[in-house]
Amino acid sequence: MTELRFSWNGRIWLREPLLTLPVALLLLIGGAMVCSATMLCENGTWSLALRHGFAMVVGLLAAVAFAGLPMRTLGVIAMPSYGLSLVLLVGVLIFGEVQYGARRWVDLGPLQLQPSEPAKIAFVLCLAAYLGSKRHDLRRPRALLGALGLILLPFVLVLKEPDLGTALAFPAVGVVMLIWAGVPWLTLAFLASPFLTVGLAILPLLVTWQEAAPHFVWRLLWIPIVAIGVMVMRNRSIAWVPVLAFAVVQMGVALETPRIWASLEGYQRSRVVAFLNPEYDPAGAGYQVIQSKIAIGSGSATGNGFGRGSQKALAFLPRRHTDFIFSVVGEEWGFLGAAGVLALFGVWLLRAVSLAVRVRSSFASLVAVGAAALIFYHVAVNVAMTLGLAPVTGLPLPFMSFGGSFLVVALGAVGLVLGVAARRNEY
Amino acid sequence: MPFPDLTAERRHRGVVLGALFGAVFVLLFGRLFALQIVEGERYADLARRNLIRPDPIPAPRGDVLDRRGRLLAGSRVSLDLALEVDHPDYRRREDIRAAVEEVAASLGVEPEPLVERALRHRRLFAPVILAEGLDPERLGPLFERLYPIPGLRLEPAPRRWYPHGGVGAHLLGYVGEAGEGEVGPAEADSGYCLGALIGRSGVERRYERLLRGLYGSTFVTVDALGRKTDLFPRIPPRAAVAGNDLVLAIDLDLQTIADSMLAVAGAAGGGHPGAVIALDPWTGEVLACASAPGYDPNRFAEGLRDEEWAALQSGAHPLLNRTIQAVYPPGSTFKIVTTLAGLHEGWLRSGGGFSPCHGSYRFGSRTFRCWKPEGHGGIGLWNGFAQSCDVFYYQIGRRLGLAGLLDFAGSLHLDRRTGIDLPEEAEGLVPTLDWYRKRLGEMPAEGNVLNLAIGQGELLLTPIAIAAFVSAVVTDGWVREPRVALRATRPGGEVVWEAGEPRRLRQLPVPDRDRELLRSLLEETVAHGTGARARVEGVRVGGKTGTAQNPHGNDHALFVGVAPIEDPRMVAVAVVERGGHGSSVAAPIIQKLIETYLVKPRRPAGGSAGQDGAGTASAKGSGGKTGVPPGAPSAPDSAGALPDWLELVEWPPRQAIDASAFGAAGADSSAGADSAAIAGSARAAGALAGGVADSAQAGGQARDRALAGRRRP
Repeated sequence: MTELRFSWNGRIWLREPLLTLPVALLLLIGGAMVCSATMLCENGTWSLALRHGFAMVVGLLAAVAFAGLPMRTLGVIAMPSYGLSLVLLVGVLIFGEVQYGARRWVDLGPLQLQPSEPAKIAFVLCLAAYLGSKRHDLRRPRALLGALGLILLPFVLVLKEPDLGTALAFPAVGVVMLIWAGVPWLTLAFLASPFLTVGLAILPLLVTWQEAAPHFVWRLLWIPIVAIGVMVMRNRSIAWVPVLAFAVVQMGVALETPRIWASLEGYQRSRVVAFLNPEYDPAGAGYQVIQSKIAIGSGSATGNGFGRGSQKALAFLPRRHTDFIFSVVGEEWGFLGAAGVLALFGVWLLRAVSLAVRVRSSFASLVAVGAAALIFYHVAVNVAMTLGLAPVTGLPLPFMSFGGSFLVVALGAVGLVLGVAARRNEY
Repeated sequence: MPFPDLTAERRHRGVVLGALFGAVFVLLFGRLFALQIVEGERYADLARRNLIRPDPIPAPRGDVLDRRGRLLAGSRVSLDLALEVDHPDYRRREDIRAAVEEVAASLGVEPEPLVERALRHRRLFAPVILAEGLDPERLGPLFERLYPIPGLRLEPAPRRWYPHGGVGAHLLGYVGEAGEGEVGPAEADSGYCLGALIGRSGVERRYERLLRGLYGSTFVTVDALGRKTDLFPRIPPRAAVAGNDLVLAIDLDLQTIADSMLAVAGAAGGGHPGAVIALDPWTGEVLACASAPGYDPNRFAEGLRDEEWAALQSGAHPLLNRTIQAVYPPGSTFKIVTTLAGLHEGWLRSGGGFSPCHGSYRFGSRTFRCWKPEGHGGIGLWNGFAQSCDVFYYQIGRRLGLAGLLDFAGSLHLDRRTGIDLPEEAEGLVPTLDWYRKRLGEMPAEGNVLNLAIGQGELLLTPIAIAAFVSAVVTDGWVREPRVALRATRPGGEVVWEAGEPRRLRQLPVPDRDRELLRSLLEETVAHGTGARARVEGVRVGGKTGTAQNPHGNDHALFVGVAPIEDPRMVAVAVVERGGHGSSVAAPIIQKLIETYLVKPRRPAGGSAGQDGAGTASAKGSGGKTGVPPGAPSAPDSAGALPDWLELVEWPPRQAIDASAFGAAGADSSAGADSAAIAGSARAAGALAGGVADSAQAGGQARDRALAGRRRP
């Protein structure tokens, strides 16, 4: 018998410790780190810490709300909320305030709305509804194209703000959900190949550390790869039309990428280059990464102590209470602390996946996977960035970074997973 | 396939996903381990000893040039003497004290304040400035003596320099230093380094984004306590990006004339507050914009003392740009509007049926006077306008009726801001019946129309609004947006911004033939009427005088001039507060402007650039000219353009400003909104010269140091 009403589901919070405890601990640690990072800087007051606390409360309310909604309700609101978030994303492009060269916010008086954040949740719900519906057979191109369209729309809109890091969240989460939904591996390879081509087209531009003449060889590497792909596909008796489409797309990507690279903002390009070689621009984009690594590395096994970081390495790390909060953990609590935080995330993620395996409803399963993928993407990219393994992108660390919008969204994702857990026997 | 309901299939995918997550996490763990455990020692060491501190390199600010490329505001590098208090030799306070005392002795200044400042800076790890604006001549011997002192160095600091002192001061504005709230990273749109120059008023403020550059950084490695070390490989500095140069529509010759003549206009030989604005009526370009009293913006660059700042804020408010920020009763210049209103109704065209003027007019129980006590005799449209006969206009006002006049005036939107590209433009006041009702609580009396018809009563307009309106009347009826800046260019010449086509704001509800008739009336006023002092040989000039009654004292003098009237290329408005009659006080200023603009042969642009002592380039970057003294003689180019009773004097050397020069007059206390009377008014004019030392008595000798000019003895 399916429950249709909102129910508090109080018990689920106790019955799923692997979903609740890690998050609670991360919130506490995050709060402590934000305090440490903000109170000891020039504007040190309680105000930032209070705002963080307030965001936590709002986020917990969102979690409770999502946990309590029945699957069917989620399914019903999926499409409209996705549509609404697209509207808001267009709105922010038109009306948004320009800050640091990007339009991400709309100023609504006392509130600031960053639509790209709640758009992530709406996206997960909508894609889950789409993929989980029996009407869409993912072996057929039409269904697949629909899914791709759902992914690309928010991706393009956020990309135009411009906000590359957040924009990539949509394809990242989307791909994971596609995998989960049973898209055939070959199809996935087909879909992923343009990214490979992008990488190959860009790599020579980066390897030489100057945006000048790249190595000739790299530029043409995509040709044999595409040829191999064509042969494989013909081997599997795929019709000529899709095969040719594949080849054309690859060619387009390979030729367009250098042009898009040139049209990126200077600071975005230097960030990517700095990621590959921080010493190239140690003063600009590379500066943050070098400082972050120094901060984390100097934490050694057990760290330098809570609150002590600012007197040393952290004093020179900008944005340490937002994007680089993990560096604060690494510096103050050392390897034990940092690895511990990663472990907490890992525990939550694995539990969410194992839940997704077990639930009955395909929709619920996809929702759980989508929420997990969303958290995973942010954790992976953010931590990698602080360790110098990824370019600086401005993605926050879930549950820990200062920044209300994403904190609420991340806790909302937790709520979704808890809701799935509570209704694992529903359809 | 449909969603894999089969748990086995799901589990398979679950394992794949888990493996993917796991792989990434393993990577992260591994890297963490590598950084913290394997290389932990090294990083801890680096943290202790290798922090990079970016020191900002200030960006050169763009120049502001007049329309012929002459420098109005530029940058020059001033040399400051700085001591690096974080030098390893200054571990102890006594060491710092000793060093600073020695420097103070060499400079000949009191050591204590400098020692205090240095000790304060010790915590900030920034070099402390011990002396600013050093004279390059003195540097040689000074440095020889001070050389052994460790950590002492010369810092080139950018300063703003206005080679023409007070000329165009209000238009150009002044700059101040960036404060806490404005400091930010260079790559962001709004980031300044501490102490960078930010425009605070006028053009400097309005075009801040274009004029400012982006500061650069040199990278200094310091240890955890902020002291310099040298353990990291040299990081090349990031260059500062120079600001763009801004070309204004202003003509320096006209501007100088406007400022000079305004300073000496009016009774008692000058010192009255006032405003002069000249526009090109077809493009809206501002050719000159002067306001008195003024000030020397170079004083801001050098740092004002408290009493100087207080003096600037009080008394006659020299910081006010009266062309756009002050409102005046238009006086008889408003008769243009009244005339148009009458023409609009149709009955004024024929011009007949008016009672003659005998010096006064009775309405109800009151008698209204004409400015000419003996009266004008028979009056019609032509001599009524040209002689500015009040009685004539009282009659027009009565025929229009209060509602009729107010409605028509309202449709012209004279009280609206013109949108000129300068900050803080004021709105005027043209009342409506509603406005009266709200203020009085009842319907206004019809008698008000008589005052309004001659431009008295509850009418207040800014000089720029008058100029824009008259520009529309004498051209095609379109009010255009006035513009000060024309374009901005990179230092290499590439244009990064242009003002574009002149912007039309609204069309006046006045048909062609009414405007043509009005043009003729304006010409008649100068040819045969009250505007005789505005005549220029060889040019057909039109204009309208105005004398606005001032209950607190002398009348305000106004004049609006247009030349040539058959094909207008300049519209100019002059206002001299409490100056007396517009015909004798304000008109000559306009006459000189017109003469210079339309009659005097032009010097070739190359010649003027060479002669101009200020030069068209300014010192930017540390290699350039250092410290051209503020006493440089200015624009000999303009000398030929001045009336022959006015001569330019060299800027006096910089001296302390006598605070009383700004005329916070105790005596004459018209403490109302308008300017207070200024005792020793000429001293206020003298402030434009960059310093007035003598506090001589009012009138007479006090004018010796007047702004850019004085009467030849």
